[in-house]
Amino acid sequence: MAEITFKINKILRVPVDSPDLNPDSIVGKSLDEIRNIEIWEGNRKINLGEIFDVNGEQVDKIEDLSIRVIGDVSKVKRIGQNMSGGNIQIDGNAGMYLGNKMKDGSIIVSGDAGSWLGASMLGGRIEVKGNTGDFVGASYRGKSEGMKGGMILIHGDAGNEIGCWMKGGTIQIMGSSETYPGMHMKNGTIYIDKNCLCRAGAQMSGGKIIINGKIPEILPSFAIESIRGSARIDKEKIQGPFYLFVGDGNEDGEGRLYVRKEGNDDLKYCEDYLDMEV
Amino acid sequence: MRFLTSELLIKNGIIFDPINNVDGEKMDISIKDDKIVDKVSKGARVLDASGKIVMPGGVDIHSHIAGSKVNSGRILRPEDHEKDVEYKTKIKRSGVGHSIPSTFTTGYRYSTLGYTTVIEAAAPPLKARHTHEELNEIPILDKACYTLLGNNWFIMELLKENKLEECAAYVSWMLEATRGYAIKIVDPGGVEAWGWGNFITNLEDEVPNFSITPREIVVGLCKANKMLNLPHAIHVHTNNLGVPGNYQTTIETMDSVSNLYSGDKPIIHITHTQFTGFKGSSWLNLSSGAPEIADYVNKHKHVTLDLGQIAFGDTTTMTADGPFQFFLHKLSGNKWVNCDVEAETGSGIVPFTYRRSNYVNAIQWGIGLELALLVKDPWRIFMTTDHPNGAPFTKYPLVISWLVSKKAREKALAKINSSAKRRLDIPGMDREYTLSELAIITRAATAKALGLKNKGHLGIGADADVAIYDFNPSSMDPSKHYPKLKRAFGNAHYTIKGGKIISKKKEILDCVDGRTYWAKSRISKDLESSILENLKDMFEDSYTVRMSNYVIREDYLKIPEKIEVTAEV
Repeated sequence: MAEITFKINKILRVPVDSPDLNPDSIVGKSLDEIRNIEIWEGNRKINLGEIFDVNGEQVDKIEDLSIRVIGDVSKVKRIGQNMSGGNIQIDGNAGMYLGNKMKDGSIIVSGDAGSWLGASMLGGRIEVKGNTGDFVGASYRGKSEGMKGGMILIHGDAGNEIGCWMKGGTIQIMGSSETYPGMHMKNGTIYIDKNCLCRAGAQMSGGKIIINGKIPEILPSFAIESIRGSARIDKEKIQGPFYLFVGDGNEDGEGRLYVRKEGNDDLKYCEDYLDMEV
Repeated sequence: MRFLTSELLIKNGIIFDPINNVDGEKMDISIKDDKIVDKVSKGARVLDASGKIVMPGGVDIHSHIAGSKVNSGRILRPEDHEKDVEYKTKIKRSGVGHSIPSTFTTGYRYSTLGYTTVIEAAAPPLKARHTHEELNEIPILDKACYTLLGNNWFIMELLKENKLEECAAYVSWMLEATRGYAIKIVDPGGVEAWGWGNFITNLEDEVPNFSITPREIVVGLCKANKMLNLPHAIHVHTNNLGVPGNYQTTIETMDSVSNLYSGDKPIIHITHTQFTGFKGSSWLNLSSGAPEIADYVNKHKHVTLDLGQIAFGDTTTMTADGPFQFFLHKLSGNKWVNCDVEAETGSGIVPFTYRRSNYVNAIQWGIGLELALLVKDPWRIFMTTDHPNGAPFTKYPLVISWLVSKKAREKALAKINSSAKRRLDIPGMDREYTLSELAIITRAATAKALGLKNKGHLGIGADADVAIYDFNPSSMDPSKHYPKLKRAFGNAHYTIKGGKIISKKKEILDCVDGRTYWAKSRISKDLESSILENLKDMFEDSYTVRMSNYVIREDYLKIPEKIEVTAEV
């Protein structure tokens, strides 16, 4: 595996739009060609080489290509957009739309990532060691096509509306999330290891959300179905017990919302409804 | 390089100017300032157009480009803009596009297609101010807007009481107040009825609270239009749009005014006829009503049509037909915006994707093309996609390729839903539009139908709006070389507006402001004062705005151009 490094050489003051910093645009190009890739810094068109020191050697096969971005690129948007292979390692914080619409390959971020991480992604794997912003694996604003496949693993916390309009794949958050995880979700799995602020699964019509920590309340449009001993993320088994809710009733949805029983005493009242004949 | 003289000579172009009976002749066109003239001095700038088609600038008779509904569509669809961004240049402003381009982008893109005049198809009177604000911001194009009057309370009341002259006077006042160009009727009575939870399903259904029928509204407004001598006919979007079997409603609507025809010019325009040409009793046995409609149109001279052709892909539907949009929202499950405009009309917006593989969409595709191929007189059928309802106007070159080339149609047919293909007559249709006919349905006939005397032709005295396309008809057959023709029409070699070279290929070279036309019909003083008296009371009773705040002053328009006619009343 050959590595091309991009070391940021200045402090960015305005957002940089860089959809072509991805393996597909870089594979088979000489270093000079890579340095000449056009990107936008604010309203100015610049070359990649103006803000990055590019080192390494030309790589002709996407499978062999490893891109290493060094430094704080939290103002650089769309790294890894549409990538179909290879891998990207970011040593620092990443910006918005990291891995937007990516098809395959992998991205690893050692710091935090911005909002829209893996938005509308189709496959591949993203791992973030720190926290992320909002709309992880979500659809673009207004669109009803969220993440369709692949895997996103976040070791820290995530923001609002993760997995919005999600249609497949898995999002695992080892920290907490804010409001509306799995909004409009159709399929796929969201796992939140710690707490969720509220309103999980609003308007979901399918798929699975597992909350392993505390959630203060469940939306009134969800109905409790049973108490389960465990829940599954793909092949991995998480020991419960879990309350299993089905909803969102407003959408005639069949989404499944697992919430850990232990620690969620505020939801104990739901158990009264379990034996009720409807 | 800037030339001091504003003279321009287009040399050796192959001219298609159907109004002046020029069909593919090699000629020079002389332009001085913003008019076409007999000849220019020797110092004139010369544009070499040898081996290229030269046509008058395109005139689009029906397109949704400005107003609150278009703007709501933009707000509703950020995803529509994401994929299509225009960067700014020294001349161009930045913008976004696809199905609902921003105002500037609309102007630039129309002009790169060789269009120079575009009419906004539906302006609710109360929102006309917004419409004009956006029309003001659309560069390059000459514009106008139709005023929606088919569900207006006052009109329905006046027509019910059979006060035809007062109705005509009110229409005249409305066009002045909204700076509108023609009477637009959308789902006559149906939008109002839907507000009460009712549906109008045929021309004899009564509108609740008004005890008037759609037939009476159409006939009444057609009479008013004649009394006022307005330049354009009534512009009608019929009842039952998008309902299987509605082709009969379309024919009945056309027929309802047939006895008013006096033989000079058409008196009713049926718009986006594709959407109202459905035959069959349900979506399952839907078929094309185009042969029946075309047959009627071929036999009756009082009607003009436009296509409303669809092209497959993602677009945004928007109309003043609130009930239809609600139905489409339920059918597609897509997001929806609805609006009721007090005492006047309504509207709705739903994003929609036309799919080749979908039986109904494939039939719709066929209906539009069948209409174009079966109506014999090109002067009475116009090419539109009802932008953005059938497809964005940027798909015009694609539609053109289907019209001029059987081969292009066959290629498209091969990919559509196979049961739809079996039910369409298109495979057996051999007609191919000639370039002259193409010039008719895209500029000459539309300009004529709109009564714009300086548009749509290249005769002396005409506005210097010219489109030059890089396609050589003497060496290439449009039917065979349709991909080349499609490219040429999608990418005008030069577009000249008002004597200025606006675009070359895709690049915008200059940006000017276009006019906004509005129609003024002078009625008698007595009638005017009597209707004004009544209007004040009606406004106090029915509107949330004062009458004095309702009227848009002429100086609100950037470059107003009044088309003045004298009414018979």
